[in-house]
Amino acid sequence: MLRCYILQPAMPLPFNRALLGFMSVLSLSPAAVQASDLFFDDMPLVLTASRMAQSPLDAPVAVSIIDREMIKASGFTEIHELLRLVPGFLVADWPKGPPVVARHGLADAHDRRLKVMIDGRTVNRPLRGDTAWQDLPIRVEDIDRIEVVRGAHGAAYGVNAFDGVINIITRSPVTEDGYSLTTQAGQGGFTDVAFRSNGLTANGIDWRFSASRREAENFGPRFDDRTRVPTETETVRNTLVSFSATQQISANDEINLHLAVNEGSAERGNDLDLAEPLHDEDTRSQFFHLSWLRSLDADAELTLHLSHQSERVRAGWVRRTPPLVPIDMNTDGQRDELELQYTARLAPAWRMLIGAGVRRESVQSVHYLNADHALKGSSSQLFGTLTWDATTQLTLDMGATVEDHYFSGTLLSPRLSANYALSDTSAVRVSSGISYRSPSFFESSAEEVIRVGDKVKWVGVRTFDTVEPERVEHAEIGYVAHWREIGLGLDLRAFHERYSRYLDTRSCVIYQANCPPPANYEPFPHAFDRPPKQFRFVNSAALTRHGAEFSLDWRQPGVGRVIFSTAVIDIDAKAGASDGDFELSAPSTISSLLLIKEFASRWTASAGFYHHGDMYWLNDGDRVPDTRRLDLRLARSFGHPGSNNEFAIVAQSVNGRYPEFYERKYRHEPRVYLSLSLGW
Amino acid sequence: MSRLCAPLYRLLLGAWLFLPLAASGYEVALVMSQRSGSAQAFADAFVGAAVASGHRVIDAGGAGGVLDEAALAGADLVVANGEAALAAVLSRPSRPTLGVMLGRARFDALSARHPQAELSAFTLDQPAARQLRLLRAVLPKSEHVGALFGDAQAGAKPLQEAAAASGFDLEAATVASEAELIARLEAVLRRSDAFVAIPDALLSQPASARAILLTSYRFQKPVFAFSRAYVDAGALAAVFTTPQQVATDVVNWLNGLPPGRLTLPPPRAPESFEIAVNRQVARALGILLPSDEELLRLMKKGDKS
Repeated sequence: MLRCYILQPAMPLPFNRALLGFMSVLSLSPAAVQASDLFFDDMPLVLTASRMAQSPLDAPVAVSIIDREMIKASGFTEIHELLRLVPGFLVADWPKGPPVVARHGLADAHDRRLKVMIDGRTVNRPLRGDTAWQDLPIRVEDIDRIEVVRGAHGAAYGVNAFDGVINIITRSPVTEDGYSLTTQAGQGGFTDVAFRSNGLTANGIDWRFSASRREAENFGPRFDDRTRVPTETETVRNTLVSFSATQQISANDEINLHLAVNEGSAERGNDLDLAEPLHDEDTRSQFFHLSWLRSLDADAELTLHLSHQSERVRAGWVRRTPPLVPIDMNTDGQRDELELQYTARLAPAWRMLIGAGVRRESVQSVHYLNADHALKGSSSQLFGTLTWDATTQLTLDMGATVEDHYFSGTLLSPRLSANYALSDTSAVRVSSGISYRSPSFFESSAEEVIRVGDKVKWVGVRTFDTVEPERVEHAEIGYVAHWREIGLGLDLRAFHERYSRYLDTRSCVIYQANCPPPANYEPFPHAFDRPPKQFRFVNSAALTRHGAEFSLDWRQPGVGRVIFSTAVIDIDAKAGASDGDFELSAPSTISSLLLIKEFASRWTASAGFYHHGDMYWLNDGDRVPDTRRLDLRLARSFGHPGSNNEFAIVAQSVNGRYPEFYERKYRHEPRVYLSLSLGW
Repeated sequence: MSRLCAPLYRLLLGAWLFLPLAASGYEVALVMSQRSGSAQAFADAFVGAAVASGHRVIDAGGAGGVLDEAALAGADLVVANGEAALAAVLSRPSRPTLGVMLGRARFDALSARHPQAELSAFTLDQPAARQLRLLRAVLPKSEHVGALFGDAQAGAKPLQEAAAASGFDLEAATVASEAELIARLEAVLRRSDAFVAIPDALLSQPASARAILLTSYRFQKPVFAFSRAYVDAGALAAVFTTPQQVATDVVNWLNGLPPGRLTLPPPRAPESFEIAVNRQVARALGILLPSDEELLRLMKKGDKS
């Protein structure tokens, strides 16, 4: 009997796979198919372009990466603190609100010019555009790495990627298993307990559940250096529950789900302050994020993101000075976002990225907006990047975002960059572009009031002039090198940024020229010679900011690692600027140094040194002098090498307390804490 | 007979007709595990090359259907294409049998169940030394190589010996279940410059491979694998053998035999191989990759030393 072989023409892959699967069901044991599949069957595309950090040699902008090793070695227990490791970044805390992160100065208590994302999902709050760092529904342990774009990048991230982009990339549940428990306790009432559990279901869903509770006294009682009046205190408690899951549903498709809620309870204020006594502030921040990633081939993928986030603040007190009226600080904000993105290689020398997104935001606050209803707005954006490898050495990158914003209308943010490879390990980058920041709900519609019934008794910040989006023209030249053989990376850049229509507040005396009162204005009684004032948002005069940054990352297995960065900055404000402190808001230098050294017997020591020169935080902040902070960490791992069991002792600010955000008022206190992590 | 079968039928018929010109050729009964994918690719290449060399190839059936007992009994050699085919052939008395298109671990398991069978294999597993030569060619200064083995320790000994011979320190661990994978992998990656993936059934299933690739990237350590698909998925490089190369190896062996004296060789690894590299992963890891030709040259240079 002679049978004939079926000589098949090449079939499209899905049919081939379907046939293989079908045949295996019919005729072969699963083990048999599996044995052959080890060598020949397709596998899911795992390390796609969106999964991997772009090589700094190829990036069209300056990017810094904070990796797991740095995170652990720093000893920082809060996410915002990690940004001290980024060249040119400043971090401060104050007791009346969330901590503040800024790049190169020009910053106040509300860090609205840095776009912050978790796995590509924007987390800035709709009301002010700032970030509630302590209420973010993720923990430091959840982070795989943080990618920081050091500068405006509206062309890739849209309107409001104005001063930089911080993308926090969480750790995939695929890369964890088992259980872990971390307990930390130290000075300043610091306690932190976190539990994590990971698993894999029978149908291939990798999942992680985590829960934690953290408590700390960030600012204790002290007195204003000049007035001797007690300053505000702050104690925070946060309970966080998070669930994330991922499933490779086919060789090309992956689904990810992440949901989390962070409930916070802060005690803020000053019991001797009659206008704002000690009070509780309860917050709830929650989100869900669903994403679908389709890997079409090594160079092409399609991603779809759907997310929802909401923030709720419940706070209030009764003024202790007549008239004794209740103050309602309740605020609610929401954002829904849908984004589709496609990347592909058009030709061997041409790559493209194109995407579109819609975003709907709403916010409600009687205190800040003097409205009993929610303000709502929808925006849409279209973005694209085209990369051309013009020669083996020269790559041109052209990108732009067009955004139709509910307040600012249509804005175009373009960027052009060129990377020239000096060698296989080093490149020069020249980049230029224009980016915008749309006014937040608060900046466009502020009416910060204390109301009694329908009467406005006090006014804080208002917007009664038309405000325009902020604009920055930015240009830079950079040199990057990465010599893996000797474990050394260098990043050097000089930048020039010209801001126009910079949004700030100006004060004016109510009823004087160009300073109209709000409707139904009946102010609290006041001294005749101290008439009430209000602040109004204005587009201030133009500013220029220029300077240079340098960073070095040297790692030698068995020896250790050194990560050093320094930035020099100068700000020039044109005449007519709204704030005389603009030029002083950036320290002349900002530096950080992280040393990591592994010793025998599984000991690891690390030291972090952070310095910035004399500077001014704007608006609610004030001058802080030249500041140096030294943190030390000593850790020993134990048990099975892969168990992540570790004991650590961390001493923060071992060189003593230092003034923070407002020299006269606030101090960052040294803290020593112990940490024990167990995995099983 | 279907339309698709016609060309091969003519080819085989031609071979029969020219039998007197190829008197030294062997009669080979080919048993298929499946008639698609890599198994079919091997069959196509093998039939073409064997017939062209004067051998006769008879389709003796598939593992899931009825086997042609007469063909199996009358052949000089039975070539079992895949594990299921080999299992089917070994379940009955048979002529000298050569397993192809299967891993060494599966072959050894089947062989152990049939100790009396006249049996050998051309397996798909690459020699560990060859994988390490590729690693050395890509990362000349690497010293510590990480690997995970399954419970059966398949591939452990050859890799240990090859690592010792090549001057590498092998950082290895055994994974008995999926639940142990990440912990063992992290422990290994912490001490390694690169990770070598072993074709183990547990460690190479898609979920495990995904975990290995993502965790290795988190540690910024490259993975050296054993298939092109692994490289497409995110391994830095792989050395592997295609079905066509397996067919060539088998036909070359047949052609080298003295006429009428077919004796099976010991089970052996592929002689022919290719390499694949993922230049995007290399860029992301900051690794400078020579051209494929240069890598092959460096591997051969290592082979001689």
